[in-house]
Amino acid sequence: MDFMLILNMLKYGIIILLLLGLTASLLSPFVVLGEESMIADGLSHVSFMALAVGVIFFNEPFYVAIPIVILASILIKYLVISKKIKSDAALGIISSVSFAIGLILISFVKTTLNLETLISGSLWLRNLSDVIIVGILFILTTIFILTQYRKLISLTLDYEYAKVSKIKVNLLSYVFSSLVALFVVVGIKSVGVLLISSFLIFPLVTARVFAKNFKETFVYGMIFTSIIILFGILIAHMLNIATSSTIVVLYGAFYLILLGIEWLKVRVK
Amino acid sequence: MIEFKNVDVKFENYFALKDVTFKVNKNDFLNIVGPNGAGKTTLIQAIIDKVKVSNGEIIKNFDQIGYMQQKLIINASFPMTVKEFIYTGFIKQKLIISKEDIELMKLWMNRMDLDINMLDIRVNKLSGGELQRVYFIRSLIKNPELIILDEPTSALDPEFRKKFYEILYELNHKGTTIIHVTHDIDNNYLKDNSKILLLDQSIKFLGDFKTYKKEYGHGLHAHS
Repeated sequence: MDFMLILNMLKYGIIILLLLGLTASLLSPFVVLGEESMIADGLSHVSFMALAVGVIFFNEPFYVAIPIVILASILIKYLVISKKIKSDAALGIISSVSFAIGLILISFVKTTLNLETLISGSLWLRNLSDVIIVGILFILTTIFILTQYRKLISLTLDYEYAKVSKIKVNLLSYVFSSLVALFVVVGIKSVGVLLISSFLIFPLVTARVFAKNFKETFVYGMIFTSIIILFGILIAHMLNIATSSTIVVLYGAFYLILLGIEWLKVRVK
Repeated sequence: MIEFKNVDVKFENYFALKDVTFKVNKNDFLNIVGPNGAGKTTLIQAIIDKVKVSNGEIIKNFDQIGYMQQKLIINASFPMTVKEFIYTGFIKQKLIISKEDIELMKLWMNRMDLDINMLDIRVNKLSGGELQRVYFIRSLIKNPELIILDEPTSALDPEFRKKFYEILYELNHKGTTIIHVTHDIDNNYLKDNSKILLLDQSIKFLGDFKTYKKEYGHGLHAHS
């Protein structure tokens, strides 16, 4: 096929990936530094199950999945805040059980939603309305982060101090969790379970190697993510492999290289 | 400003605080002393609602509070500058830090004998003593009516310790109420009229430093 033709067919998919990558770069610092990487990962598995439930009972799984995942995120947050659970063990359970339920459900139904799409996503057959949903998500996230920026830093840095400073810590945490949940559901529909938690983790872990201050973690995160997404799409289509998997592997390789550089820096000094 | 009425704090099966009754008035300089595990930090946490009171009540009447906790937790991987960190102590925080606020930070950096260029380096590059001073700046920079310091001097060098007390007395003189938790009493710097609360689960002594010295003589170290 002609390159321009492929590009034309993929254009919505590419825009969706880039918008999701940018949204993730805005959330990533607060997710990772707030030690919520595991929560994001757990939510992606809950989303997988919620979408599967949606497929069985409704035509549009998406609108069933959104409230389920937001509720799950608030519940997890509540359990963590009230210290009713040790978060990582409980999350591991929630995560694997929902994934298992999702797999069972999906094996029962043969619909448009196939397993591989849910796990590793697909860029084909994306239309304008998908782009608009992701666009709205990006705008919402940008507004939220810009208006709550300082409060989110305080909250992420030191919960106790933020509380003493009269920040409504619980409300802010719940709203933030819901936003992450929304991102996860919307993201999974487009790029799959596999990529979505990587999206939330990699921007910060790679950006912080270079960032001289907190603001720069967003800048570097966005730059690295965009470059990796574009390279990932290119390589995936040249080698005819799944785009999401390619992007995750590229991210991983990039992170390894950064770790190597860091290690060398310490040794050389 | 703060009033404890027969306050108990119970964890599982032991009392961290038992029948604690005292008052903090506006403009007090209260030093809370006592051995390790005496419940000093628990008492502070009861004031800031971090632990629940099992019995009794705490009446609180203050708006802004500057707080410096005992464990200075800085996630070493948190990529933020000293400037961004201190800014979390301001009341009105904007997306972009204003020039006046930066000037105020520089002023305090100078007073704490810290190089103003340090404002732009990452927090994890600071030494223990520097970090403690930066935390101190954060707790006082919004000019709160109450400052609570939990073991603030543990990592300070003796040279700076003097200055630290000078600043505290200056703030107190201007009307700030100060609650200062300390492991041992710094005889050299405490003023005779500052209050001492000796705590060991319950209150063992409450009065001014002068009386305390008379009663406890040379046993100035609370744990001895």
